[in-house]
Amino acid sequence: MDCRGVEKRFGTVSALDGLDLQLGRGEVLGFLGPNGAGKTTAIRGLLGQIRFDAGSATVFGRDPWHETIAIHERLSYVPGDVSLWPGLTGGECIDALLAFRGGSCAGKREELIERFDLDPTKRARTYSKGNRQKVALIAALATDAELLMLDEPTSGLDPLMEAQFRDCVREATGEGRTVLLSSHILGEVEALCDRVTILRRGKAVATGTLDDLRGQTATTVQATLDAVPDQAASVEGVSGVDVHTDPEGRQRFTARASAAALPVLVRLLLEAGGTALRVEPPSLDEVFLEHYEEDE
Amino acid sequence: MKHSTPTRSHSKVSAATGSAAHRSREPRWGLTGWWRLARLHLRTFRRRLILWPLLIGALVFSTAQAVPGLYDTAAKRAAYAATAGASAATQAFNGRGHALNTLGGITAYELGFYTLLVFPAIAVHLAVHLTRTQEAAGRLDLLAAGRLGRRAPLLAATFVLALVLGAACLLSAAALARFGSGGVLYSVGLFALLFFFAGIGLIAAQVAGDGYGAHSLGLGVVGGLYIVRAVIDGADLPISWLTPYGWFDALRPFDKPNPLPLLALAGGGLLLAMVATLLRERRDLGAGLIAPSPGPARAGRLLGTPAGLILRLLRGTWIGWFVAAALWGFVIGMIANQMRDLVESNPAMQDMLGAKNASPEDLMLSVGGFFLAALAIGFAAQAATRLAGEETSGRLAGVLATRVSRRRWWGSGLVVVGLGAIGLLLASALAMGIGVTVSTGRLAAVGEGLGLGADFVTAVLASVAIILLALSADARLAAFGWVLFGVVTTIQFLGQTLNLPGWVMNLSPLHHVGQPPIDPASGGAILALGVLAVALAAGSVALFRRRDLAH
Repeated sequence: MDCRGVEKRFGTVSALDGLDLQLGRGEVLGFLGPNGAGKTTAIRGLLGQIRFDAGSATVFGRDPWHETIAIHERLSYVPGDVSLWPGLTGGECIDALLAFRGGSCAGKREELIERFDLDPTKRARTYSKGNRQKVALIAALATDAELLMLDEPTSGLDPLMEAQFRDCVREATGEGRTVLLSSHILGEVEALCDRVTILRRGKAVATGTLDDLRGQTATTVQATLDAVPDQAASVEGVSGVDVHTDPEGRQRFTARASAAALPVLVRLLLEAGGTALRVEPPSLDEVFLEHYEEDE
Repeated sequence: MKHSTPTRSHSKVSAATGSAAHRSREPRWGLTGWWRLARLHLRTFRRRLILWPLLIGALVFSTAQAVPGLYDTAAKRAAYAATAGASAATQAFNGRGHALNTLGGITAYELGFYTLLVFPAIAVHLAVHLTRTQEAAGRLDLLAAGRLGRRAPLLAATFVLALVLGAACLLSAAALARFGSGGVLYSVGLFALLFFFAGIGLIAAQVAGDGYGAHSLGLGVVGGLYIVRAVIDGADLPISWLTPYGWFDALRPFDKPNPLPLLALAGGGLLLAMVATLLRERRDLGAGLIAPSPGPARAGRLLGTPAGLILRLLRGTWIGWFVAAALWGFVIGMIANQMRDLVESNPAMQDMLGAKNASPEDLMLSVGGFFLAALAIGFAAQAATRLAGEETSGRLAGVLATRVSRRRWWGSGLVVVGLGAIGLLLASALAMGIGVTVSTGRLAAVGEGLGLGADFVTAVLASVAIILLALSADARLAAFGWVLFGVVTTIQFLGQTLNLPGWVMNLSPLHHVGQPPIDPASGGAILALGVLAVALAAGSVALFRRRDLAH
């Protein structure tokens, strides 16, 4: 999957504004971004539901608008807000979707119904949001599609089912399938994804492995010492310096340091006799918050 | 919890704590917040709530304007009373005519089809829209968690309905005031009748499983009562009090005014609204009175194709229309004999028909055939809203993310709706033929009925194509089908009276077919309509493939 400079406008609102997105075979890409960043619009465009205004987008090397079916033969899709036919049972919905996808792998359907603990004889109108989501997941995972397009697939699932979902995705990637996972659940992204792309206002603002992104985000450094060296605050890449005196008269130093500034700062603090030195790598939350909020 | 409505479990809790004071603080009627909700309705549905009474007012007004010009002399009015007024066919459609020697009486008779079928359908639609549709959309969940009593939505809806129908009544009264106090009584009666049907809509909203089902149920009751009344009026049976239409009829505004039935109608409407609140107590928010039953765990093979899925989705809708159309066709057929007796004993009628060189059965079948074709268009209109629902709900996006192409989906929709409409037309036309045979004993009528239906096949197909063409351009144009349905029926039932210009009459695909079996249908027009249907259908596929899906 390859998007370059993709744009989409709805009236005067720009939903995608030059999006770049690459996803290689067998990869699991986390697709993140605040609400309204354009994640769903991008996925709908890649599915040929809407037509991009500008830029180039290909899936399996094909154009999603003109060669829709050739692409769809090789993918399965799960929307974030599943709507089912109210009068049909869950089992009927699964079968209908599977038939439209060209059939399921033998036994996969029953296995998944069992694993996700779904009652297929209930009418879809009586399903809760989580159960509707299960129906779409089962219909998507029971095929041998090469690509799984998952748009917030676990919204409404309970933690037990969420764990089942993670196992299923791991199995799928074990079979060499490719996954595009749009999600707000950072733990899920961390557990499943090789790479992530973060979207903001219709643009990719960061992309890379989780380690790459951690590297781009400042590390928190704390130390306790008698006197903070003057140079510490002026090292390039150090920010958010905070010094205060504790009840015992020693100074407590806290600052954030970029990957390049970290060794310089730590050496300075150690040479000044710093004790209780703590170097904390950024949590995933911090990584994302930084990207969600930056250049407001 | 202080502001929540008293629920059964809640009162149990307060009984257990033994705090009578605590209980008494709860609003007893569960009506908290109804006024706020009513205001919200008035604001959010402003356009709809203004448009419907305006439409009702406009139809009454234009008819009241046209009638005095057409029947300006006593002789013309007498002729009208002796022909249209005596015709069992017209009575089956328009109800009994009274005081047809007066302009007010003629106007009321001309409006009959609208007053008895179309306007009540609007009232039911509004009642369901203000209650169950809001609930099904999940909007009420949010509100009901706040300071909103459980019965408040029903009171708010009843209030808004009374307001809207009252506005329609005022417009009607203004239009009919020229015919004296009878016009005012007629308008008040119209309000009471529509309020009664709004009550039926409120009950349907409690019984059915969702908004769509509530619409179907409510409209089904309107159609059923209308057909029962058609039999009673067409066959001149002395049991007209059996339906609310009979009470409305008993008002006799233009000859023997009697305001008493107003009490029955308005009181009946209020009673129905109260029954609805009782039913509301017996069901959960978002659920119907009838619990959904479990079904098969596996789908049949049919569901695996787009056509099969669409067929399944439209099955219930089609059966509903089929029952209505077949019954109606049979009833019309049965009344044909009545017409023959009338013609034989009524020289004026013979003159009217003689000029057209037609038999009484033919006249009957002609009106009936048009109406059955219009019903087939009505089915297509409802089917189109269903297909649009597939798209706006996001379900279509799921289907089109599979191997199903847009062309295949749309083509399946065209075929299923087209065949459904034609099946409806031919089946009901056959039922009409059978009705004629049963009443006259003439076996050939069966084939004649079917042949009459066949004359309208391409016109109905063209209508289906027009409706789906609009939908293919934009899912929000789903209601266009109902506009076409309205145009077709208005041209059929009021076109002559309103003296509509030729180009307006030509807007109805049915108009081009001619007047079979009085005059043979125009073969050229039938062929042209067929070509048009194919061209528009192909155009709709092309359009649908070129646009963004709505979501």
